[in-house]
Amino acid sequence: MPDFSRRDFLGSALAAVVSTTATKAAAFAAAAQTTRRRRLQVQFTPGGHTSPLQMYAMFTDPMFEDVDTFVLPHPHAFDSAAGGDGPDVIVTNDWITGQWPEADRNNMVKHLDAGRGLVVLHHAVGTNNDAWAWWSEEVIGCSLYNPNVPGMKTQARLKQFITQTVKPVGNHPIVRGIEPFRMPWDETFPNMWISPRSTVLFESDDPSFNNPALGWVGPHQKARVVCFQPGHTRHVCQDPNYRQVVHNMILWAGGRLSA
Amino acid sequence: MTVKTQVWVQVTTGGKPYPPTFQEMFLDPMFFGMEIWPIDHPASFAALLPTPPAPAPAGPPKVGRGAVGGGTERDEPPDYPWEPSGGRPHPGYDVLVLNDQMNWPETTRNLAKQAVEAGRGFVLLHHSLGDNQDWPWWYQEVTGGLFVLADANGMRRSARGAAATLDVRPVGNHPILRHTKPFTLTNEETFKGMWHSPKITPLLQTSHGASDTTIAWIGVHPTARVVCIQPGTSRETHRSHAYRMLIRNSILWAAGRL
Repeated sequence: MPDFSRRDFLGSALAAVVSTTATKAAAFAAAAQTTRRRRLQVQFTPGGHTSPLQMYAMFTDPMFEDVDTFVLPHPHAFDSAAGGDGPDVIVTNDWITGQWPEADRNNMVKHLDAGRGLVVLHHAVGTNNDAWAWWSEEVIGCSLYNPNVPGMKTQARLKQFITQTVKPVGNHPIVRGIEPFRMPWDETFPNMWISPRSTVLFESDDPSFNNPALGWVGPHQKARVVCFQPGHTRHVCQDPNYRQVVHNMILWAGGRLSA
Repeated sequence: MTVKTQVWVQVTTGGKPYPPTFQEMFLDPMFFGMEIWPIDHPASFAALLPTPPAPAPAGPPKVGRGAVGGGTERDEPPDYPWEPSGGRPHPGYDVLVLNDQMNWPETTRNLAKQAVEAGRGFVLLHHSLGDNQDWPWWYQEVTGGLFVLADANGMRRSARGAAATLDVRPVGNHPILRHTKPFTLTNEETFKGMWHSPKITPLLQTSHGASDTTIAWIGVHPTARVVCIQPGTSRETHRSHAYRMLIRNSILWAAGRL
């Protein structure tokens, strides 16, 4: 085996056992709140970009036992989202830099108008940015690049692969019980535009960020929409703290975390 | 020149729902020695094609904090492992594992055809046996089987059965089946009435009444290494040791490593 594989294997093993103590209390609290209730139906929609296996395997972590997740990539990913038996929460990590087809956009609008949940992870903060302004401005409350930053007229700025400290902000139910934590190597988007109507949940300590927001609640008036910028590498996707944040976001988006 | 020792595998799904235990399966230590990367539809198969040597870099990569403008900066520790979108020369995928179900667009078909003719490996699972209903070359000359979604071209629609317990037996002595004994899948969707080419080489069979007899086979293309496996829909199947070993062996054979 080449050396990098062995190191990566060891890194993966270490990541699985580090930093679990702080997250366990929050996990138990959230699990207790959802006990004896129907499990949330969660649709995970990736697509259009490479993603680590650990992103998918996150949903098989015992932490996620209180949600029932199925994976449904494109095409026609949102066909069932508009109906009464659609998922409670859609989690996206797709990378569609133009925009979804019209049918997908219409179905997602119905999902949101029904007051259901949407959790937007990593790649998906850039999806629909280029051609569906309503999505960026009124739903997810962000864009991958901020045109008011010099040089950021047409493309995003990617920074790979920093480590950063993630600090919760405010007292939103999603951040309740979560302490500041060090996040493993990840790809970041340091020059994003974050809507002033978004409610920031988490910030990065990386000094190169134009806006330190890493996680935020989007401005949509009916649906529960929440975004989390990290999630590119296998190291992050198997990090217990990362998984705790995503789990809390799903529960809140599904109406299972009260204010 | 870097020697590629690992088997590089692209896993592509799309168009049909499935449980996340599908990808979890590939984290089993039995897949150690493989670099397995999901890229779901809309997906490109370009990384399966042979690539010319990369040109020498024009200068040092743009690095450092505080730089502005678009593009990618790298601030990575020396032990950071390779990432597909990291910008390093791609070693190319050896095997494409499919669990999608759709009619691929023309550009995707062109890339797939080039990959087939270049002798790449293909492992088709469950949903993907219904791919490309309107592309006879794919199922007649490559995979040797089709789950028919609607009556067409003289073929009758195939039937999808409810979850069943399948007793599965290996057939023949293909390298994929080495050390494989009869096994049972406890919660698996069945397909019946699939179109099969008479040229396929059966690998696995069952006597379940709601299923076709042959449920895994070697495809028919003379240069590509193609394995088709009908089961693969449930959490129980994805977590079956025997099923995982079958997938592992199929990938290794498709990559020319068995």
